Amino acid sequence: MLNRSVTLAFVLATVLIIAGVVAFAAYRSDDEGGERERNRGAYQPAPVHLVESWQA
Amino acid sequence: MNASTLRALPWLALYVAAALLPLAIAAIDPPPRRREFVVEFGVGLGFVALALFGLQFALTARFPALAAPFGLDKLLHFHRLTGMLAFGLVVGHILLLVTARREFLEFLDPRGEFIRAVALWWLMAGLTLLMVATLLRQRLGIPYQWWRIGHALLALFVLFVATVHLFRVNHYSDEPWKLVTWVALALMAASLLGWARIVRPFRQMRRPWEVVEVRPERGRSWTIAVEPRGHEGLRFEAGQFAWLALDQPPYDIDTHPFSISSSAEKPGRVEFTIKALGDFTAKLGNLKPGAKAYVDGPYGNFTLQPGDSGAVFITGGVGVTPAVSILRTMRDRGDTRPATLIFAVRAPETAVLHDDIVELAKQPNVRAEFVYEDPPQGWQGATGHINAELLESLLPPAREGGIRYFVCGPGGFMDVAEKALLQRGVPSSRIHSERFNIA
Repeated sequence: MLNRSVTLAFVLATVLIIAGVVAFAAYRSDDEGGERERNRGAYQPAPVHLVESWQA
Repeated sequence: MNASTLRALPWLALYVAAALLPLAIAAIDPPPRRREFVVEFGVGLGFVALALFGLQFALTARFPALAAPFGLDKLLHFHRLTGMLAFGLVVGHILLLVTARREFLEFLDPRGEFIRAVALWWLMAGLTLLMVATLLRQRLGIPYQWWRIGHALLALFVLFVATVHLFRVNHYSDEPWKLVTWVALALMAASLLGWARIVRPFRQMRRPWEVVEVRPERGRSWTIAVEPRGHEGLRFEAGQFAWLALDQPPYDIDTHPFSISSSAEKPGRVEFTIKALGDFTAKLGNLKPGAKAYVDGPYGNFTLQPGDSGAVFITGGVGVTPAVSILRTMRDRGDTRPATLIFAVRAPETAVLHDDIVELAKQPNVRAEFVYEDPPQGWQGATGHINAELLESLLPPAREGGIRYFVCGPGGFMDVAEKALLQRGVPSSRIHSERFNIA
C-alpha cells in the first residue's frame, strides 16, 4: 500500500518535527526578553516580583 | 504491528532525529539574547526546512540499505511529500518572522546587507521554481531528463543559498565550531548527489552489459535482453526493477527505471519489457544488438516472500511485467504455490507479453484472467474497467489467508484496485503496489 503507508509515515514525521520545533522555541524563547528587545531604548519598569522582593 | 512497519520505524526515527539536528546544534551554547516564542518558532521552522532539504539528497541517492526495506517508489513519494513540507516550512518561517517583527522585512532589502538580501531572494525564487517545475512538469511539457538535471542543480543551488542565508543572519551560527558544522552538513548533503551521479555511474562503467536482443511486443512495447560482459550479471529477486542506460554511458541524464520481466533464475541474461511512452522509450525500436548497456540495480520490494501461501497480481498495461518475472521465476524454481494474474488491458492486440502469459497459465497452479476494455468478437472472459465487483468475481476466495497481493498499473487503476482489496478485508500489509509516476 503506497499512499497509505507513506502518508502515515509522512504525517508522523511532520508531527514529531513540529513538536521538536515547539520544544526548541519553548526552550529558547523569553517573551519578556523579546518584548524588551523589540522596544530597545524604551523605558522598561522592573518586574513586579523583583520590586516586591527588594521592598521586603 | 506488522513486520514492514517495524522495519520502517527505526528509519523514520533516524529521519526525524536528522531533521531536528540543526535545532539541537542551535540550542547548544546559544547566544544570550532571547527572543519571543513566535520568533524562535519561526527560526526553528527555517532550521528544520534546511535539514529537510539536506535529507532530500539522501532519499534520492538510491542507497540499497535504505531502498530495500521500503521500495524506491515509496522513498520517492516520501521525498515528494517532504519537499512540499520543506517549502511550506520556509513559507511559514518567513511569514511568522515578518509578522512578529517588521524589522525582519529589512532582510529582503538589498540596500541594507546586500548578500543577505540577495541570498534570500534567490532562495525564494529557486524554491518556487523547484516546486513549480516538479508539480507541473507534465502540464508544462518539460522532458523528464531535463527536469531531472534541472531538479538536481536547483536543489544544490537552494542548499547553497540557504546556507549563505543562515550565515548572514548569524544569530545561531557565530561560534566557529558551529560554522564548521553547518558547512560540513551542507557538504555532506551535496556529496550524496555526487555519489549518486558520479561515483555510482563510475562503478557501473566497470560492469558493462551488451544488448543481445531487441524484440517487438504487443502494445507498442519492446523486450530488451542484455547480457553481462566481464562480470557474473545481476542477482535480483523477481519483481524488482533497475535503472537502465542503453547505448550511452551511465553518466548520461537519459537513464530510466524499468521492471525486469525475465526469470531471476537467469542472472546471465536479463530482460526488460518497456512500453514506448516517452521520448526515450520511443527510440527503443532503433536499438540494435551489440549496443552497450549499463544496469543500476536491483531495486524494489515488489517480491513474493517464502512465507506467502500464494500470489494474486492485479495489473494494468505494461504494469504486468514484474508479475511475469515472478511467474517465470516460480516456474523455473518448481514453485507450485497458487498464483492468479488479473491483467486489464484495452484489447488482445495491446496485451504486452500476451503469449508468454498464456503459456505460463498452462501450469496447474497458475490462472490468468484477461480483462479487455474493448473485447474481440466472441470473447467469453471479463470485460470493462477494473472495479470492486469485477475484482470480486475474479479473485480467489477471501478466506485464503497468507496470499500476497501485487498491484501495478496506471495511477487511477491502482487506486481502484487497492480500495477494492481493502474493502474485501485484505490487510494492507499483504498488498504491495508499485508506482513510478512521481514527477
